[in-house]
Amino acid sequence: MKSRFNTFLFDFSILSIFRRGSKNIFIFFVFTLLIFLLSSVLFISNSIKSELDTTLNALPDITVQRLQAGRAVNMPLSRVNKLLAIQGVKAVVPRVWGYYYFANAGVNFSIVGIDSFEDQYRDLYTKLCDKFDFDALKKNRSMLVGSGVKKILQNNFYGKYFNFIKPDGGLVKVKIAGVFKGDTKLESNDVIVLPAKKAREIFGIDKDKAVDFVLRIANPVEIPNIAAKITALYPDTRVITKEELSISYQNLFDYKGGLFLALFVISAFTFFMIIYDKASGVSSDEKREIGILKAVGWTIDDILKEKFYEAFIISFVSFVTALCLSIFYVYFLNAPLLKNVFIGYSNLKPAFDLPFSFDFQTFAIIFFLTVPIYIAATIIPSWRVASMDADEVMR
Amino acid sequence: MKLITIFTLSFMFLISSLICIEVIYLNMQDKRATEKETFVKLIGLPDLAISNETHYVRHRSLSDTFSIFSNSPTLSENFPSTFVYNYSDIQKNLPSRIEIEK
Amino acid sequence: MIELKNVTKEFKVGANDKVVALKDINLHVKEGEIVLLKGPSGSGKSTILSLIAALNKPTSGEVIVDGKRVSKLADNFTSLFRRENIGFIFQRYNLIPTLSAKENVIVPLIPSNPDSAWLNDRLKKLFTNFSLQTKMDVIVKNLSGGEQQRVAIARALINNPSIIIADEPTANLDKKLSLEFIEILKKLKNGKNSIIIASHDPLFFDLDFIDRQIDIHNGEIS
Repeated sequence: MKSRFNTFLFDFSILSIFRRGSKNIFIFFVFTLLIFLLSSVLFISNSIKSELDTTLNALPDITVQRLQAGRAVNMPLSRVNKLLAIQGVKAVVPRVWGYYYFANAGVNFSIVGIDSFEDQYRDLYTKLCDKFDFDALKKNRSMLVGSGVKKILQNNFYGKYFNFIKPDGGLVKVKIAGVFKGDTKLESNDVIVLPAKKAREIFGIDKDKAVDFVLRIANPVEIPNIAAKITALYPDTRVITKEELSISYQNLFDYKGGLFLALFVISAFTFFMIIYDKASGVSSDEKREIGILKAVGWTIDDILKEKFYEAFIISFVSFVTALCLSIFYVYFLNAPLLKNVFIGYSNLKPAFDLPFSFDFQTFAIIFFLTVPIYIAATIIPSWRVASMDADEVMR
Repeated sequence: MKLITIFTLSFMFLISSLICIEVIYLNMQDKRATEKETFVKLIGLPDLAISNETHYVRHRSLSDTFSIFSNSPTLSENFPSTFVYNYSDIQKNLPSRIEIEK
Repeated sequence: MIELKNVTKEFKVGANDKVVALKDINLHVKEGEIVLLKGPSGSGKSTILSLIAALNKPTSGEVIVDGKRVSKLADNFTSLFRRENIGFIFQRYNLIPTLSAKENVIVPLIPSNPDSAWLNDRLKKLFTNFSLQTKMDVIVKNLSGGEQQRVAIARALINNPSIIIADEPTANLDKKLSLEFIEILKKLKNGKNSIIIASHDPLFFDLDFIDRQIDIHNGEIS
């Protein structure tokens, strides 16, 4: 007897799988479908999180919002000096931003007003935009838009400019100077960047007010202290630190509710139905077969080995096929139907070009929750039958 | 070895190598992180432009309680976005409990 | 050499009842002997065969085959014992219907991972001996009764057993096929292998190559 791998036993196992073809094909398809759905959702949520994490460092150290009666309201610019006086604060930048509702298309644009359209920022915009007219930008009369915005405007016959409607009913015409690069789509798709002056005009925000403040802190370790100081100084503010944003990102998907719970419950239910069916006993054909094998000289170990190969091949092939299909579906096809769950029904068609993110732990969990359990559910009843006297079984 | 065994093993090998190819290919894509970082630094706003049905889903980290109720006093779901994305922790940090006393 | 010493076998029927299949049997088969167990249905012939093949354990007494106390062996060892020493031809053949003839014949040897060249050679010899060369890859359930029996015999012989056991081998065959089977049996006699046949078919009663006939009635040897 050689100590090499027993190819005859392996052959026999594979033959057994195909002999009970229809049942095994059904199990294969259900498994693959389950794991495909689960892993697609996991890939998407992991990718979204990883995208958020890559840009986390670029966010402001502290954001200060003013709340009045629970609502966010504009902040007087006079507060800037007092905030600057706090030790450790390097800079306080008042921001003008908000949402503009474009009624014709039924979409919201995020408008951000900035002050940095001078020459020194030319390289910055070269990096961010495909092609743009820098001179037009400098003249304070134009804006940079995300690709989603550009598309919506084109669909509504706005090619080179757009007319914003002011709160008093008047119009503000702003030329489109450039479009943000496709690579930044996930962040810039619905964003319009224009001079802060124009933003104030569009929103009707006074010159002495800002929507919120953004603070740069010299020493990151000091951030919580400074946040506490700001709250003490202005009790009507909400201070949001980068740390809190990071925590907020981690809890983006609430696994206790909504889509994920529904998905997991259904998957678990289907899966355990299969397991229960398997574990509740061997069919009479299979029982007889085990009896015959024993009678011609197979030990219990041999029989269990064979059953193990069978169960392992089916579950492993399902798992690997599902994983392969899932990667292709999410990252090459951009998850055609599933993405609507994450995108919603906005008319502004967001991009779904997600970065590849493989979380080994999650997939290890899926693997160990499916493959070994299925194998155990197959082997245990076979072991029970194989332990009986061959004679009894064959009758 | 039988033909069918060879077929099955080749299939398993093929799928596994497909996965490896996919993973390697995807990892080779240019990490365009710096452009994204530059953009986020420019505008300073968090959250991705992935779902913008409502304000509080678009910039969930910065939204307040009232933006959730901005459309109507009833807490209407914007299915499926609010079904998937959770309210920000920052919002949840305002605990409140109303006790009913007899 | 096979020996049964004071063997009694009882089967449980229902919660409290039991059926006594064998009562205090003493049996001795020499090496190379061909023995016929005669007796009506239910007399205990099949039970004796199962005990010799270690498919069952006696309620009391001992079964000793080639010096091994098979009645006391643990489960895995009885299987190994069967694999190495016994070739069993079952009454209903007990072939795996969805496998081909060739695959059925190799089944006993699969766990021992034999050498492919040796195995192919052996298969060729066996299938030629039993005129089944053209049926090697045919699925067993598509074979005729006689062909299935020959496959069952080939399976019993694949491992060169020292003891060949046949349980009512002609029960499902017509006279022509029964005579064919008897011819095959004749060829198997070689002075080294013991052959034990259990049958109530009168065809076996007057055969000259059978060394001994043992009558069994109601679980006792008369």
